[in-house]
Amino acid sequence: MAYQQAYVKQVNRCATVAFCPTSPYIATGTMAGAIDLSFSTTACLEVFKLDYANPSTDMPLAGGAVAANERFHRLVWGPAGSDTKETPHGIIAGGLVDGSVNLYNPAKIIGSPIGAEPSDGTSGALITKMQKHSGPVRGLAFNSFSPNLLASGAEDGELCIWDLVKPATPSLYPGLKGGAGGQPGPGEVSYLAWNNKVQHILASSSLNGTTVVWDLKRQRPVISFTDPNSRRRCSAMQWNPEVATQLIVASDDDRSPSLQIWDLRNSISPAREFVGHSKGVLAMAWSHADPGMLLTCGKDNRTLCWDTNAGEILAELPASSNWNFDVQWSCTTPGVLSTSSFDGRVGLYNLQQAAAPNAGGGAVDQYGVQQPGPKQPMKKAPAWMRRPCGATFGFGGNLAGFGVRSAGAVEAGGAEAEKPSPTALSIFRLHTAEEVAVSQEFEGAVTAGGSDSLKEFCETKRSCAAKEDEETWGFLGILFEEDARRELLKHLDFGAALDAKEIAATNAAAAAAAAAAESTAAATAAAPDSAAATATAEATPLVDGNAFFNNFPAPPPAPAEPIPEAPELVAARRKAAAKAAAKAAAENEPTEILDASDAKVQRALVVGDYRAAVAACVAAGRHADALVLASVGGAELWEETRAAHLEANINRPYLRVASAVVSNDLGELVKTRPLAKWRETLAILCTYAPAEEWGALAGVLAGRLESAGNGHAASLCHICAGDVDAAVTHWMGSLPAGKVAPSAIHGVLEKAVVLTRATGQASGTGLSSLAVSYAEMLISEGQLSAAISYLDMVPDGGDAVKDLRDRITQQSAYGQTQQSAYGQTQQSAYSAYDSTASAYGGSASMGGYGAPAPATGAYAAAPMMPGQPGSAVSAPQTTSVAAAPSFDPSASAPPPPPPAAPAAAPAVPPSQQAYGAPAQSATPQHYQTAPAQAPPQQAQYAAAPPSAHSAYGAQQPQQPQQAAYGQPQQPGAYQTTPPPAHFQPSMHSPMQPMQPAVAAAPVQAPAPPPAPVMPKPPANLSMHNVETDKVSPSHASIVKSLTTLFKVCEGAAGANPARKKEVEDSSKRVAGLLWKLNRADVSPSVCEKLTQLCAALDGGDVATASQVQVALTTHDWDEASSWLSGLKRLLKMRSSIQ
Amino acid sequence: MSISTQASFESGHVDQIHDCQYDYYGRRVATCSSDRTIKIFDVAGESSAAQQTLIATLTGHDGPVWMVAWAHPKYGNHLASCSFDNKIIIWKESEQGVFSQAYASPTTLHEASVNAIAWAPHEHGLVLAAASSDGSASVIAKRADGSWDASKIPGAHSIGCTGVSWAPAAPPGSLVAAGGNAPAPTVKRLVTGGCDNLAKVWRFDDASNQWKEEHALRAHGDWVRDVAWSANMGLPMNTIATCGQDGKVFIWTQNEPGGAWNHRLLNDFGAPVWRLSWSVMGNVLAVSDANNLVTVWKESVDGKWDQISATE
Repeated sequence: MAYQQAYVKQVNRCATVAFCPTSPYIATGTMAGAIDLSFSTTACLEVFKLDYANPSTDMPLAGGAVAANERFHRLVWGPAGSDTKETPHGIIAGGLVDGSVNLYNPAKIIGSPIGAEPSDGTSGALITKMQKHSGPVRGLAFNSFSPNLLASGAEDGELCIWDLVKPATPSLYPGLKGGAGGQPGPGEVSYLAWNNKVQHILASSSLNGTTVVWDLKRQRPVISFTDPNSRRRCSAMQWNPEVATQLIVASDDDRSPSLQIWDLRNSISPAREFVGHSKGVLAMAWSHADPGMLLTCGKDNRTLCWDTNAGEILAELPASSNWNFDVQWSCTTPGVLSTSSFDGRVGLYNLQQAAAPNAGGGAVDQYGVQQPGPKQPMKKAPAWMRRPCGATFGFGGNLAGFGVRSAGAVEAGGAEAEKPSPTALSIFRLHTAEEVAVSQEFEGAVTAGGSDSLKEFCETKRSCAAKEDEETWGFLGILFEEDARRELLKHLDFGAALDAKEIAATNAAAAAAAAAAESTAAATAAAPDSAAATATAEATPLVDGNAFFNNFPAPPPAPAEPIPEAPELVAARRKAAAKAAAKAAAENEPTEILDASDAKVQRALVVGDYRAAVAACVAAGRHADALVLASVGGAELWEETRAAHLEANINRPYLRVASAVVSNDLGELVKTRPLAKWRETLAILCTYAPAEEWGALAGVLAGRLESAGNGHAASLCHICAGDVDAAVTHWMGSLPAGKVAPSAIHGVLEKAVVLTRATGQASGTGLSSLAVSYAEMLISEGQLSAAISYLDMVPDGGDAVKDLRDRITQQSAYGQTQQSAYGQTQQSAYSAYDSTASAYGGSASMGGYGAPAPATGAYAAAPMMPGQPGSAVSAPQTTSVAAAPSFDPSASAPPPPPPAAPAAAPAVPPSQQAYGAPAQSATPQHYQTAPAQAPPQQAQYAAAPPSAHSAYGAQQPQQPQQAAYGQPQQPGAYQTTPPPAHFQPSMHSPMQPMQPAVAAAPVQAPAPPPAPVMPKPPANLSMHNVETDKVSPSHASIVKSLTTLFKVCEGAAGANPARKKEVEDSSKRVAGLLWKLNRADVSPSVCEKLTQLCAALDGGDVATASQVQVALTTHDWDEASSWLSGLKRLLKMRSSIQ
Repeated sequence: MSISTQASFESGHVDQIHDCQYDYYGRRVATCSSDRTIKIFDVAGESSAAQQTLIATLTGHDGPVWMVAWAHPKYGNHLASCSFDNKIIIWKESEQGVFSQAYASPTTLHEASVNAIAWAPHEHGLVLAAASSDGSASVIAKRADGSWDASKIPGAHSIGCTGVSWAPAAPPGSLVAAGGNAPAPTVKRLVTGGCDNLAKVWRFDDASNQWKEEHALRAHGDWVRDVAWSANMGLPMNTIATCGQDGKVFIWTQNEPGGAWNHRLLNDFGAPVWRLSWSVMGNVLAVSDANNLVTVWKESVDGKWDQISATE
């Protein structure tokens, strides 16, 4: 299979080739010295197109062939630079058998019609023939620095240098003749090549074995040399692309098929020889893409790729049936090479298809033929596959890069400025200035939490917001008022009405009294007046009872008016009317003029039959009187009459309102009121809707508005309804499509969070996904702490929030110095807290620990940091409450934390590993601010720790001790003011997400995330250089014994390299332990055990020591893991020494 | 916006580094080199407080290691590496700082250098794609029973396949639709780049259990060196960046699923561009070229790409 796929492209020509230096073409010229099956002697030049995208191996012709009178020995394609308008693809030069050098213009060939017969080139494909040589021209080369210069060499070693500025009329420089200075003249030139580094130097190899290096400027040979051992024919030579003074010469003489590398500084004998071919070498090509690679092909039918630095064969191409006489690298596509074979084929290979030379045999297939074995990779990878530079992003806005130069250096020094070290790694950080400023205010307000601050925030936003937003912010602000509804009414422009109502309420009595003192007409007028007093200043003529009914049916009243307070109005009016009637009655004493209906009414009234009276009044059209009478006649009658009246007059909008209010069916009202007056509707709801229906009704209104397309109004209604999700959907929808600016999302997020806070709801999915995306934006800017605070605003936002938070905390769990609000308190808190974690099995009381203890905790905590959040948090929780009162910050003067104390993220350690590390974050704050919060979490954690711990067998009830230790190290010493309540919300979130995360996340027992210790021992720590001056006296013995142990082992290891390495590694690890002891970073229980162990060691009892070490492994693995293995090894060595 | 150098340190490799990758949490960096080893460093911490400690050195490859990639930690800590020796090795961290080989690709999988690897989004499981110089791409997946299954996309690109990148699992558009809809079934798609100057988008067809070529992205004039599919941030468009030997970087966008891909030239760097990397959130692109320069680009609101200036 490998063989069939060997060729990338191929064409059946027995030809020498030239790749185009700039475009994907290849030119072939019929090879001299080979006869094909038809014995034809025709020769032609063809250009083929290379399309690697096409998987077919056939190469299509790019244009018609051009006939040549003789066959070619050499074909070269002029490099880019000789391009002019006439020759956009350069110039092809061919050296022919008859001594002529033909110049062709590929531009004329490409695209020319492909005929059966080659054209004669008169169309312009053949530019000119230069007839200067008399023998076959085998040496031909364009100068890469000045592409106008073409050198040709043929018989008798004389070189012609042509200037092709005007290709049609090339001019000839004075020829280069050899033979000066007593050197034997060069024979027939077999190959010619310009130096790759120096412009005026070229070299020629010749068939008499002499290789001559010429200097064009001085017009003479500089050096000439031959193989000292044999005068062998040289068939090919190549300059080293990198080193200007090196070249390689090959011979096609079967007796000396080696390749010789000559360095011109020593022209006496070759610098190196490459042995590989068993017969003469016919052609060579030194890769410019990778100067360490050289291709050769020879008469032993092998085509080899050499590693020129090592002098070894890197790869071998599959053998063909006849010799390759030409091999070339593609100029444009690295890794592609061409071979021309005497069996009439030009093939292009991908170097990757070549196998390493000692590929073993494969399995024998069903026919008994041994299949090729699995391909061995080449020893060296080509340079074009070696990535020199790269940079990749990481979580948190960091960029890791290798092989990177700083831009400044480049500008200063140009392209040749110092190359960066290929083995150095750099870490970069991206910065954005813009985003953060906006959010600080916001965060402050939110984390402050009180409705006052939020209200203030809304105010500020409103004052600087655009119009629509202004309204939105206004609404949001209202939600924080105590009397939200009232404020809302005010906001909806009914404020004046509201005020007036209140005034009127107090004035109602007065007004009624005043009205009573007037005449009937005045009374009826007064009724509207008093009614007017309860309405707004811009009142339209209110319906005055009598006047209205007398003019029934009346035209519909003017729209968009403030709604009068119906009940009060009716009451006032009724009162006034009653008074008026009474007055009128009083005034008109004693005459009573009754008409028929009046009489009826009177009669009914006299007997107390209110129902009849009412009916009579209604029949008579005296609706007002009817209502009055009904009101007297009992609740039932009143309601009936009222309902009947309302129904009859339902077309009047205000009556519709009144009817709805009366029947408590605001929903209907909301559904039917005109949308344009949505504010009014909202105000109505505001006033009348009972609390439980308020949201639903506002929602209905919002729905209607939305479907009518008034999104903004709908969003305001959503705000009032407290429907966060709907509001968010609207706001997000109103953002421009496509990539959204972070500030826009931030704006939406602000509103959403404020709304959530106002309504006291749990965060919906809309809000949490918004928060997540904004947090992600912050993270990519590296604003991890800000991101966390945003995530904390949606504590119950679900999995996405939790995961992101975990990811952040994992990232920053190790030493991110605090910038966030968590700041110093947490830093100190963590370091303090860390010390608590070390309390394994130690029932020592808090007071019992002096200086070493707190610090030890810090170290101990480190390995546990990736530990299970659950256990972490729980630990402090359980005892925190109890402990809190008994410890005040000043209890034991905690030593200053180790300087590089686990700066520790505010966050809870990742949910992955059950190290049982306490969650430093929450607890200290909890102690300080809200001990009461601890108990709730307790329960949840109780479940978690066992599962976590079981994985490590650390069964100790760490919680009590941990918590206990937490106390004395309270930041009291570090921070005077306890963190304000704003930690509460933030604390909550680490708690809650952790718990489910713990329960849910499978305990990754087999694969703990590595937990580098914070702080870490210095990189090159070893037993020899570890400082132990600060170790407390009780631990000094430990140090001493361990050092002794190490020395013994070191001595025993002697020169054995494997052992030495082991000892070195153990040394590093144990030194780590000593270093920690030095910093008083080791927990008391561990110290205890260590003391035991060392006592045993000193007594020569290695067995006991090992037992103690096992105990340490079992119980204190979390803390001791990093150095325990080292200790174990040393003990083992020690026991084997004895 | 600006870039500042936080730290620069010698890795300890004895030959050229070819790749460096952050882990999921951004806390560790793995580097691989021509010296056939992989080194893992802890680089957490900021600026002056940051220390870079070597956690582990992994050996096992017989040739220069071209690329490393960290998997999502929910499957445990896995690191994959690919090398010139035709092999892909997946390492697993068994205990802190100790990595061992969990899987090594058989010699029959690839017959030439494996040039690039990329883990699929974790929603697809523990799945790795690889691109090789034998012209094929492969997909290695861990089965439920713990064994590994490797399948090939043969003949992806002629001459060789140089880069591979997965599409994000979340269907585009999930941000704008802020609702609680059930997530659409995830489709497995990836993009490969090759020496035939093309980048190809492939989609996994569940019915036939095969990868089918969806689109061929044609714009480069020379080998495509790297392809990178950006995270889509919930917005309803897909974005792929490709870079090539011709010195150009193109940004390809597909505005709706199944639609056409339009491309736009980010910049012509004048030197072969070797590596592309999208930021985790998908809006910033880092470009590394053969002049040893790294430039960072951000899309402005009107769709043009601006370079973020580099500082010292």
